[in-house]
Amino acid sequence: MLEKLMMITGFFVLALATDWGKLRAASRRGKWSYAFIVLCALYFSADYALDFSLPDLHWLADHILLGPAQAIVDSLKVKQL
Amino acid sequence: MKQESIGVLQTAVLLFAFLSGSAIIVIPAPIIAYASNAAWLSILLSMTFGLALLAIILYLLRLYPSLSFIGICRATIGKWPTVIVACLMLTMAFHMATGIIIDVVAFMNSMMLPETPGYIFMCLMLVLSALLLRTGIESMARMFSILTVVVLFFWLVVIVLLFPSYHPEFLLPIFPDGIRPMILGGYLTSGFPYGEIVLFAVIIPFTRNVLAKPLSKALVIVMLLNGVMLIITTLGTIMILGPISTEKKYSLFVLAQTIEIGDMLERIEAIIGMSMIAGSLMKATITLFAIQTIMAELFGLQDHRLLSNPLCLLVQIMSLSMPTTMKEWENLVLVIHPLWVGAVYILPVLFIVTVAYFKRPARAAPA
Repeated sequence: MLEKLMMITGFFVLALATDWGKLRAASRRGKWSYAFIVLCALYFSADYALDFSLPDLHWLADHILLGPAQAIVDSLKVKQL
Repeated sequence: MKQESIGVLQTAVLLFAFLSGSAIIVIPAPIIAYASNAAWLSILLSMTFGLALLAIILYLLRLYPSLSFIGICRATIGKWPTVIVACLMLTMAFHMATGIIIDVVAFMNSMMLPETPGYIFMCLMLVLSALLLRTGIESMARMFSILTVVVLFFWLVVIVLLFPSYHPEFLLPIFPDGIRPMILGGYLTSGFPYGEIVLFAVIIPFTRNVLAKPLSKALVIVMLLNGVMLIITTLGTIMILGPISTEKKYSLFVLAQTIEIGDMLERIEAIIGMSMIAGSLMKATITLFAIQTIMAELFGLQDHRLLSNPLCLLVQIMSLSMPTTMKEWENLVLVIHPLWVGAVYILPVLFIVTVAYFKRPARAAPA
């Protein structure tokens, strides 16, 4: 877990350090949109580093689409004897 | 900020890179597993579907030549429905971007560098993507023109050098189990790569003259070229590996391993590995550029490059956190992906084009 946390902290620091100058000059709207994406990244970081198993895109796709998608594939698959 | 623009040929090159990117190496094995010897017919089927989608997209962009894709959505279906459509498209676009990165990591770990941690490849790919995104679409198009020629050349070298090893008798019978497997293969490839062309509608408005006839001609030719490449690769895989084609992932790489001309030309699979990485980098960057453009327009930003780094950071962490096992990931790509593409890309674009078609006379009336 420590390795994961250090790695993720490194990614965040790198991204923020390279954008610091641009962010200071950015509009309020720009800052908010930047913060929104960073918050999303923090959510997935918690999921990854702390093994929270939080809902993500694939969890959503699995719950909504797996049933119909599997039915389509099964209806087209040839049953082997 | 100055609006960037690219030429017709550059748009065509970007479409080729977007469609072929990782598909040339990733697609043959699963499609042969689904459709066996009729795999090439499945590609033909889905390519026809992709051409129809391209025609729809070009029709839509011609109705509103001065607007971006999100701008067209706003003009046709209104502000809030546009937000919903964009959010739906973003779910798939993020899945695509993470998928490309995960595929590269799986390829590198299983075929070339098994001891290296996956996040090293992810990090390097996304740092490159972030740099490319910051340089803008003009530089991207110029760089990808060179990379595409290199990828095409390496692919051609491998296909030609394999000539002595082909066994055309492996191609028969084409329909041992009827036509259902062919349709199943078509279902798979209509999601990846052909259904994904809807996301490219975000990139096409950057072309200098969207109304120019050579644009549609160039895009159709590129799509046919991509189809021919996929078909030749699939046929080559069947003709060389025969019944074991389905067991070998990354079949083009495996085919390159079998090349042996005399004692001097062998083990050239590394060039296919390089092509895979270059192709995936191009596709990932184009996908990220589309995500960046959609988000910048949704947030109403003038300078969309501000989002380059956080988006790459987000995709990096999503790639790290998403697949629990490779089997789960394959199930997601082979079973859910085509329906996901249909639900968030194809249905919304069909809805938008229908509304645009009925709104068209009202637009023309005041003139």
